[in-house]
Amino acid sequence: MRQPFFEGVRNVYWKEGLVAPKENQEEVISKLIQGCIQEDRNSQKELYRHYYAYSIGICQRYAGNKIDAASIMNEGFFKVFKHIKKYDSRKPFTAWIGRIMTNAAIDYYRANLKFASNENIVDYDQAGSDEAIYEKLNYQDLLCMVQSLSPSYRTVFNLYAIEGYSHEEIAGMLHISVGTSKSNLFKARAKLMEMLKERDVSIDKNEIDKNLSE
Amino acid sequence: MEKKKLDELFREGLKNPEASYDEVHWIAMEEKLASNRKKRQGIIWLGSLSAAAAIILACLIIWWPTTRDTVVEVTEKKDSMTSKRAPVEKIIPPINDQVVKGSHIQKESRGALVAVPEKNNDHGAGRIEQVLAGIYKDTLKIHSTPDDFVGRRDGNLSLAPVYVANALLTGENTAPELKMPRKRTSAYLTILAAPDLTTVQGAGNPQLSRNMGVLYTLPLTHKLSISGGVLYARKNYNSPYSFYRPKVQRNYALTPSEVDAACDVLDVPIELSYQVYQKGATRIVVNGGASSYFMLREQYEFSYHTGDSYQDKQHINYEVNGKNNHPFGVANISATFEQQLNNKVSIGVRPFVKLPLTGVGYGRTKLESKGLAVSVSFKLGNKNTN
Repeated sequence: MRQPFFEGVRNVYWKEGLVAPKENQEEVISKLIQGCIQEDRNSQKELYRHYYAYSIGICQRYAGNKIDAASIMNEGFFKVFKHIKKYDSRKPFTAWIGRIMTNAAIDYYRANLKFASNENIVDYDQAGSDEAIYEKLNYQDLLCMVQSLSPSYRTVFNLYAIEGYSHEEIAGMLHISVGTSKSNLFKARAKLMEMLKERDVSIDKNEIDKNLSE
Repeated sequence: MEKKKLDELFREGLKNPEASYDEVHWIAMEEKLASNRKKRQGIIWLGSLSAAAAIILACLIIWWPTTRDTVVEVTEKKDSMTSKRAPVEKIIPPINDQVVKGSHIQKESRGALVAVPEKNNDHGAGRIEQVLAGIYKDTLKIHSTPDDFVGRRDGNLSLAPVYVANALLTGENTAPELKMPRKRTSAYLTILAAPDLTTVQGAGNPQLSRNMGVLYTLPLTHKLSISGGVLYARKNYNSPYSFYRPKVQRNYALTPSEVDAACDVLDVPIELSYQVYQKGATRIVVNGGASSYFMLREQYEFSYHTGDSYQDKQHINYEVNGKNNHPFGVANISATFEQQLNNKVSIGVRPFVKLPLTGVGYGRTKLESKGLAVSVSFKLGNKNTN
């Protein structure tokens, strides 16, 4: 009984080398969405895998660390699976998931508001990934800087600078005043600037361009 | 540096996140989904239970005249002696109706029964009872094979005259109610058919499975009985491989992610039943016991993720025949709502749960089933135990 089992496993390995005919990505996604509507666990997993990097990328910016980012992401995916029937297939699915992730992050921010102090800019320099090597401004460097901001600065900076919401919108989302939103953004930028200088990285145009081209 | 450049630096720099897929996060996600499903299943389960209750209620209403008939006839007899129950009189009119209707049928077939409406019209004084006693003595012989009536135009009537006749004949206060439970004192055979939802405990994703079999019930006392039987079940269940704990652990280069199972199982239950409620021909019995599972055939389909989301998953089939037996591996809890149709046959519905005591099958999985059985019971032996 056991032999065929092993053989089978070997088969999988062998087959892995074969190139499977790749379907049109959109088609795959819409198939997965159909599966998720049927609450098929495999489709859910596939969708999760497919949007994992994108989603955790959003959540990491809002969270202070990877664990929180993952729990925000799962909260987001939970909503995705729960409300997937309401998704309008004419609109881009990525944007839909992105919106849900952002909202999950805002919920997380609100829920953790009482534990976070607004004004305290403690020494966040060592926050984030420990083993990061700061040689140049790569994704991890930038993420680490954003993560080291206090939650209220981080959230406003994310919403305004990265996602492009207006101060009025942010004020509504976070239940704060427009003034607070503006001042938080100002402080967030100041703090980031400070960190960039500390890293002793010259941020002239070339550097930025280099980053952009990466 | 200008604000815009700073914003842009972060916006562009954070555009393409570097994050490799972490299975741990999916496991957490899966648990989250499973617990949610469990909650919802609870609601569905509750729903089906209440649906079952509604069916039973409907049955009660449909068959209520039968029940009332017997009760009233019985109490009417009492009336003449002790007149204990007042509300009975209110129920009398419909009975009049029925008996009269019934008497028509009987008129056609048996002359001896003409007396029936008479009795009802006069509403029992001792005098009539005497008259009746005389008449019933004759009719009793015909009536004492009430089964003859069943299946005729008015089955309702079959029970009623017997009791009156019995009561009148004996002329004592031999609480006739006792005779109802006594009927149960003979053993009976139950045929069950049951769909159920089977799942590996905690994995969610229940699959429809079917069960069929027979139960033999032997009464111990009026309320207590013991039963045993054999059920054939085809259990379908689907779970992540993480729920599998095979006896022989092997290290694979690749661990299966998902397992689809279809097992032919011989389910041998032994259970103790206690009758918690009875009125007329309706009764409710709670059953508790354990089942032994004999795995006749286990078919598993292991799915492997190849890492490429666009590539089809790899499947491997695995089959075990008759290797795994689990004596008393599963606990049974159920309730039977039963309605007696006639002296020999009753029908019932039985919501049940089967909870794992041990792991079942090759994967030692904790199999859990919830379902609703429909049953038909036949009384064994023709002797009347009165």
